[in-house]
Amino acid sequence: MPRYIAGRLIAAFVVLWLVVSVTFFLMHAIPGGPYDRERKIPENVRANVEKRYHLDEPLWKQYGNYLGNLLRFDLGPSLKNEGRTVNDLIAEFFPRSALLGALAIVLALGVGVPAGVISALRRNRWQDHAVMFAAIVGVSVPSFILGTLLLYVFALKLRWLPAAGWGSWREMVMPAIALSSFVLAYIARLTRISLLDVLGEDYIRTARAKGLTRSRVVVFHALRNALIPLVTYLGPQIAAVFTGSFVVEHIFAIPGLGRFFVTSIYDRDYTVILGLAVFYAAFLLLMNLIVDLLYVLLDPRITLEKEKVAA
Amino acid sequence: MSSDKVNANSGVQTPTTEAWRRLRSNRAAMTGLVLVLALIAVAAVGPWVSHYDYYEQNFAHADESPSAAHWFGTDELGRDQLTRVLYGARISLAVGIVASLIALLIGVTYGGVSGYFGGNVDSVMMRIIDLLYGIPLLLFVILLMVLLGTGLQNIFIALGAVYWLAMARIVRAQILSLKTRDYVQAARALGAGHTRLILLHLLPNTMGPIIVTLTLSIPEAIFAEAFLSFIGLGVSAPKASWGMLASDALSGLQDYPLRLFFPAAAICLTMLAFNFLGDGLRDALDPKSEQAV
Repeated sequence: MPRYIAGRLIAAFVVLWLVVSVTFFLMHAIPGGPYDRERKIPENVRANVEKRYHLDEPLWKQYGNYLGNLLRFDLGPSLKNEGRTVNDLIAEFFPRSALLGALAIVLALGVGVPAGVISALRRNRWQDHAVMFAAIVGVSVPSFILGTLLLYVFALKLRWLPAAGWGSWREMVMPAIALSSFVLAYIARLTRISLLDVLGEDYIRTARAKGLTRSRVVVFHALRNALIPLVTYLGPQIAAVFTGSFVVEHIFAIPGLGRFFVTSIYDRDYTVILGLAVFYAAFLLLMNLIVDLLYVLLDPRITLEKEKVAA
Repeated sequence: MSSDKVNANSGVQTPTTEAWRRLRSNRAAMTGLVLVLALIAVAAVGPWVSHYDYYEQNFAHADESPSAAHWFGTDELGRDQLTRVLYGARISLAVGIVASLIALLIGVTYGGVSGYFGGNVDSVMMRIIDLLYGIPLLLFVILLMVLLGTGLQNIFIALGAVYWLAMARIVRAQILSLKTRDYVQAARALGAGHTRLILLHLLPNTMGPIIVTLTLSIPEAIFAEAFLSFIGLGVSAPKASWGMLASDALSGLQDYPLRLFFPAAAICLTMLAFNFLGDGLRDALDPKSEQAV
């Protein structure tokens, strides 16, 4: 197990280094600097600014500096938000996005899993068809469409919920639904398939044969094992939620990291784009790592290849 | 959709006729197929039949509701919304299909080489794929678009360059299992070279999974384009993609909700059609697939 974790950690760091390097050189390959769009600034002012952000140094040196700072978790200053560091900005914006993302995941699991179970237990009956139809609609309606539709119906027409802003739970309802729809539908489909698979196993028949009720068998024997594949899918799905937040936060004017990222793209704030890309990648790698480890803990049948070699 | 493709009187069950029979009996998939064909027809003919151009402004008729002259109404510059939605169909379909084909080309080549040569080549190439899977792909598409600038061509490149991983994995797994078959050994014994073996003997037998993956990657690319256009990184004005029309509609949502409704409905319908068709194709062509999620 420790060897497995070490291996996964090393792989995660290699990916992170790749992301940092590729993003860094992508950002510096963009023709023109971040100040080109503004009014002409005097040559000496420009030189000063470039010196301050080390833009006058050779590229490899800037790269080295960046990696060095990164090891101290320092993502550098923002080019457009005067006097603020990228770390600052992440600390301000990320907690809101994380809360919203967590709500969306909870919603997706809370509705998606039961829907999948119903679908599997009522296979090929109308309940199954209804859930699976809803699920395919769910993966087909992009979050920004669902978000704007919700906004129109519940905020502008019915006036039940506020259209934009952040603070109370009322402002979180629509964004959380919009963010969760894709993942919810995906989880429902996955739960159904996986549960159908497990229900065909011998030990389920044994459990039924020894007189346990159907509901007890489903909940305590089948579902436990059926949910294992779900755990591995949660990693990438968390990624879907967080990338979905780019548009959903934009639509509902939520001052979160996703909206800030989009704003930074409009502003061509390169250090922020670079820093946020690194942050997102690191966050998702961490999530995937946690999910992988959980997977191993949940299913004792999985032997890790590294350990097999060692044994 | 009758028997023109199936040779009904031959009675021979080739894998293709069998797959077609399975597909035809799947109502959702056939609905999807009809919708996809209709969509392609509309995208091809629609802008040409329309009385207006997508960039044609007419301030005397700005912000109109749907009428006989403008079925979907007009936008704030007096452009005909129907024409813009029809034109958007061209862009969305083009993005979906071209980006998927680029991804197919890269994925099939990569997966084919990896699976065919196996051994160390395969382990290294698959390790690279595993590493790339750890990266949030949409993030990289965004960065590429920032780098390349907006525009249709750049969307093709950015999406194609990023979304080939699934295809590579699937093709590799197929080739890996196929290459030990007797017929491949026989072809090799007869002196067929690497290229001939891959192109003539191995790839044709992986067509099923390839087609399924391709069909399911088209809605993914359409979605990505709509998303990019929505955040201002898609096609450039005055061109109109569905994502851009939806994004434009956001500011006037209170007064002109229909402006959002039409492009939104178009996106959802297209995604549904491709997803239904893709699911059906998977059941028909690849019945043993483990990925039937």
